[in-house]
Amino acid sequence: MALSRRELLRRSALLAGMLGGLNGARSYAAARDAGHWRENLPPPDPLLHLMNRASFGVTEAMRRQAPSSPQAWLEQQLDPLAIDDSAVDVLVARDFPGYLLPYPEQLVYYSELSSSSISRDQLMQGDADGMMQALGDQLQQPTTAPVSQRTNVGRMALDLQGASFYYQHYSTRQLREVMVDFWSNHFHVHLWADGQTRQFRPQEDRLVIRAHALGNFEHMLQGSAASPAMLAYLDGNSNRKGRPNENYARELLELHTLGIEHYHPGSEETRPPGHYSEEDVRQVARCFTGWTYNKLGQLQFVPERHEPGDKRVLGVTIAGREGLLGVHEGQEVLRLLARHEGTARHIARKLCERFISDSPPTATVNEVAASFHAGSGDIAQTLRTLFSSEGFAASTDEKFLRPLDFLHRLLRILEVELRHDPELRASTPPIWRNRIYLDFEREYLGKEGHGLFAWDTPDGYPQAAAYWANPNALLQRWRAAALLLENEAWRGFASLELAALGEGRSGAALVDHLAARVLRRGLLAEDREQLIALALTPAPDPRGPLIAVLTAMLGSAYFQLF
Amino acid sequence: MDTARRMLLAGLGLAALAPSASATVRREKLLLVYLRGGADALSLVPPTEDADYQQQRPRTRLYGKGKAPEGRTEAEPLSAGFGIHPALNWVKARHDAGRAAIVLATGAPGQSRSHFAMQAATERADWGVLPQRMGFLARYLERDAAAQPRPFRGVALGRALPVSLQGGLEAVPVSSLDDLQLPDGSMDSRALSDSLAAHYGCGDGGAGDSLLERQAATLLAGMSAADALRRGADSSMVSYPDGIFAQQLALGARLIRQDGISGTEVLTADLGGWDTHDRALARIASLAAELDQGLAAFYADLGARAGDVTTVIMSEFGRRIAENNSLGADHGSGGLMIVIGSAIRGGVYDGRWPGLQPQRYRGDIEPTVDYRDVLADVLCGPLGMSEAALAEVFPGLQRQSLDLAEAAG
Repeated sequence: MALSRRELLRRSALLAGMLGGLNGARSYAAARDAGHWRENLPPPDPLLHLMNRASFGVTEAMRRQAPSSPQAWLEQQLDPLAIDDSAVDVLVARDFPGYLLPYPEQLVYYSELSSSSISRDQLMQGDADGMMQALGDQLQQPTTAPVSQRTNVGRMALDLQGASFYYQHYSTRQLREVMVDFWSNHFHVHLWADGQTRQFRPQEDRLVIRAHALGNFEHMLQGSAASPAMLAYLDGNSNRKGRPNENYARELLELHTLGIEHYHPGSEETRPPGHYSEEDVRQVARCFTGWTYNKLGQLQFVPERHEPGDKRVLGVTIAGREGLLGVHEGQEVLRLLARHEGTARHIARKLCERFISDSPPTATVNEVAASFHAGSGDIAQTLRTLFSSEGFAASTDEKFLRPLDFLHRLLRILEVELRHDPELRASTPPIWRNRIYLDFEREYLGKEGHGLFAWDTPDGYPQAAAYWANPNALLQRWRAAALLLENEAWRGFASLELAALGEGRSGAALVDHLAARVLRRGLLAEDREQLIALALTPAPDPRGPLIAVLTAMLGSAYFQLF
Repeated sequence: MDTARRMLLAGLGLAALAPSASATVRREKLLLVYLRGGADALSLVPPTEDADYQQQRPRTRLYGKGKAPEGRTEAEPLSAGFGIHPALNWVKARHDAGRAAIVLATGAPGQSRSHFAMQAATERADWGVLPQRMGFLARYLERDAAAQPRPFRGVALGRALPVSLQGGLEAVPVSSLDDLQLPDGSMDSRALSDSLAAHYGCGDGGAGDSLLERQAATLLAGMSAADALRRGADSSMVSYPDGIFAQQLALGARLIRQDGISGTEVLTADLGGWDTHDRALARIASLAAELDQGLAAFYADLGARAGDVTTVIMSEFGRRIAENNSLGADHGSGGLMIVIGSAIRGGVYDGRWPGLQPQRYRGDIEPTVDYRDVLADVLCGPLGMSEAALAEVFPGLQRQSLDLAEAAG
């Protein structure tokens, strides 16, 4: 009965081959496996192609303010701190203030102890001395319960989801937000796995993922390894001398750095260069023995739990260190892995799969890998190479929007102002009526299985269309667009559009105008005719044709493929 | 109805949804009821006379017939020292009629006690072997998918596809037939769906060949079928109990009664709330009643078709043998499965019952029966799947049949 996933994996090649053969007989499965998504639609111009891939949706303001060349826009986005983004910070501070606090203060903010001497107002006014005093008192209270039992960690987690959604929707640093989403999945910690992940994932988001999303990969890797969220999620904190836990070591090699494509299941003697074996997993786990975290949410190294002696990883000797210096062994392993060519290839492939195609051209992957390796994990430099490659330029319509991508495009293009008001939500049953963020998160993302940080295994959400596209997903997009437009949220966008068109508009003028605004590219003649006919179809309400044409556009292949 | 729409229906809608010619081989339908949260086997089918049970569940146990002190619950006797929760009236009646198999000590490979991990693992049922995330029921349906997929073959009664049905083309979640249409309101939704059909290449009598076009074609066929179902007279004379679970089953019964239109072969329904860390007696009594009454109404509603549906009831794991300090029990391992159907050999399957010695298996019921073997007996029995196809549905399973189903004939 106790067959582990790993044991089965080793025997999987044969089975997978057999099943592939069986599937091949069926047309749908065959088409799916071949990844035939692309339709021959008129492509967008190069600047829009780049902006659409490197953002959560091109808004009118973004288009207006963009420089004229793709290169110039990319350079702006690669320097996020030079872009003013204060508007979204204000909104996050208004609706999810706890998210912005440093970790120890968060404990107080989210504390459910009524005896806490700090009021929420004091906290927000930044009375640092008073806060730390009260916090110190609280931490020194004799208690056997872990901090998590006195802190509403569920609210911490929900605020992380909310703040992330706001940043994705509102931030002017769109490429950074897209990369934050990419790295959050790469170094995935399932938010709902347990109390610790809820408690520590928010600070990891600020200190590790956001801090390095366009910076240096090795810095992010070091931060991730040392973060309490990761230490708790992959059992690093229970990995100790004599009782090794290989969970983190294995996922570090398999997911975060070299990738499963560099896994060598056989013996150490037959390991090809650049591959890792079971022995490497064991040795890496030994290097990380003794890593845990303290009550303040910081990495703590416990020498008594550290396994002494030299270790050997990927053919390199990691010298054993005494006492507190033992922490350097793990850090040395991370440096070795971050700078490894195999890691460059693995990261390059994932980036290309995200930004170019579910099966990107090998030449482009190699080019991007070389750039990553030459820059010692410089992420901005790597993205420059990727976005200026021929593979990227030739890849229009090769990607299918994931539910998160679809929802943000819908909300951003229709210029929906988000609100966060759980009480109002509870008292107004019809969904999407009041632009309440939670409706979008629960009623669309949750139902589509794409809740933020909610994937249930360490590999992060899939990126490929084969996982996300299915008939029901398509219907939910059609319904989401129609419901949003039918409800209050359409007014701001659509009424302006109609006013701009003036009275006596023709069906053709309406379709051309909306296509330019929503799809931002030309239409095939037959699609244009269909939409004009739809615009001229009588409807129960004067705004009906506009809603129908917009829904048809937002539900079309022009919109799902990008 | 305009030309595009008529062509659509002729080309791939109702024609594709009609029962296939190969339906001469009788194939029953499956209802999979998943008890979310880890249902406590020892409360549903308690070994009332077992000394370990009595000792480890001092305050939350059920009693044998005529043995309960005032205010405590008595189980209805089954056999071999096991009783059944008194709220499971209808299940007991099916058992007494020889048509309910109660399989003890079921479980899945692995020792996780996480709801997330075990629900996902039991529903994918491939233990990481397969490259794509795909549920075992989706694999079951994809085995004999037609060139033109039929969306209602697998129906998740509820708002989202459970993992078991994810990854294929022939399953949809349905919480109400009204959800399977574009919202009416200010616009002409019929004109909109015609326009989308034309855009996705479904307007000229056949589906386009890209994946997106095929999926759109499947969806539009499903929406047409939902239209037809909504128009069809609903012959239900049964009144269902309150609650979402029963409402879902009412929809399921309707899809099966009208399977000439729906083509439904597999239904899934969830009943949540089984994570009874506290107040287990009261909570389980209420949940068991909801389960039992919902199923009783479902089968009554099926009428003449009642013999065509096999129901499998399962959960992600059972609970700890010993009760905790909150009058509940924590996450455990081995659980319970109940299989009900006209081709099922009823009885208590206790042949591999491991006993309840607390030190034996980390305080849990040791899972000695692989849950996939129970499902395999149903798929290869009343559902008529070939033995050879098992390698696709449950890769890596070394099957040990429990002979749950009567031989075909």
